[in-house]
Amino acid sequence: MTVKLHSVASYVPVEAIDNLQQAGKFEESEEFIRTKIGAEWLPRKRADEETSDMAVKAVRRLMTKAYLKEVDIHALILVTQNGDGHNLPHTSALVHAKLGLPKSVAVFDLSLGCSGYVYGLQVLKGFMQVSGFRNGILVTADPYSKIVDSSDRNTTLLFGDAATATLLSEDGSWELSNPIMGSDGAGAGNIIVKDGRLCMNGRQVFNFAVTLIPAQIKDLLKREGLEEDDIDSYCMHQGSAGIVEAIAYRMPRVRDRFVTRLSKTGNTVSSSIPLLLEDEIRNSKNKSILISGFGVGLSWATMILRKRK
Amino acid sequence: MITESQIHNIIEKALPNFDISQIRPHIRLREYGIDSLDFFAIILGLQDALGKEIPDEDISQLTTVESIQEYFIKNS
Repeated sequence: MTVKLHSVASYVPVEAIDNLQQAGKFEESEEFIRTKIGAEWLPRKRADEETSDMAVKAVRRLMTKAYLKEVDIHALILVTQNGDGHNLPHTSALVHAKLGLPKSVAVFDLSLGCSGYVYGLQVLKGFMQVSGFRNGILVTADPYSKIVDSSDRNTTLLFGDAATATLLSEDGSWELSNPIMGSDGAGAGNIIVKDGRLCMNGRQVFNFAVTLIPAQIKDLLKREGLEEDDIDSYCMHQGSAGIVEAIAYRMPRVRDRFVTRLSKTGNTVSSSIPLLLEDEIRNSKNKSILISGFGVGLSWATMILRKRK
Repeated sequence: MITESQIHNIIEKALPNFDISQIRPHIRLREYGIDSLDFFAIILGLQDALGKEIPDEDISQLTTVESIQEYFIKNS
């Protein structure tokens, strides 16, 4: 049994912060926001909307899109580090209840940040294959509005709220390569919550992403026997437009194949890659897509998706 | 030790669209519109030239071409 990616759906809250206006508070220019941050709008969940509510909305949209019924779902994994309440019970249990899924469905949370989508694909794929599950859903919902301090210029200009749901299925079209993954716990303090507030060392995150990710991409291409231009679309975690551009700059042959699309979403943590994929897998020109997530942990993972039918 | 010209080369490599001819050694790089992300990219190049990581607490010393040269003299 081979599990493949079938489809992706998303939920982005309608309410949003005007980031150009917010930038004025910090005396940052509009040009800096547009070209380096890349986000003009930062979506915000409603105060009474929980992480599980966002997840449910994304899954409902996926079920409609993929003509999927509750009884067809065998597993659901939720990637989040900002779940409902105090994270006990696991938020995926609350999603299970709100969706009215059968009791036979296996659900659990995966605690990872910006690398979580790629890790999650590999975890769900392996889980489904060894368990003989036909359909599984990977959900990302990590609303950083719960932890961002609006007076901290290092974080408040970056993060937006969103949720996504990805169907892995025997009937999918996109084959998933084995990823290259890694961790550097010594850098854990560079993105960390202290006293309920997100703290980030932007310089160290930039260094880590820009030095490590291009090398990892090249390693994965080599392992898979591919050249850089065999990949049609490079979908990096959208940490900021500046980080994506700096990574792309280090791969000049395929620089124009790197997707930067965060103007209306900002950095949505583990949701940023599936938000790109939702469009990229619909583009008939794309036969091979490389995805790479990196951040909290520090943690990183890179994978290639290839269309097989 | 690092020369002014070597620093210019590092800045040009980090910021390919930047007009390096406008840089004066004693003027703060920020005055030329170099923002925090641009600066992170320049620091990466400086670290390569220095052969070791520049600690976060030293970054505030690196404001001009002159101050970068002084830093390299002290830390090479």
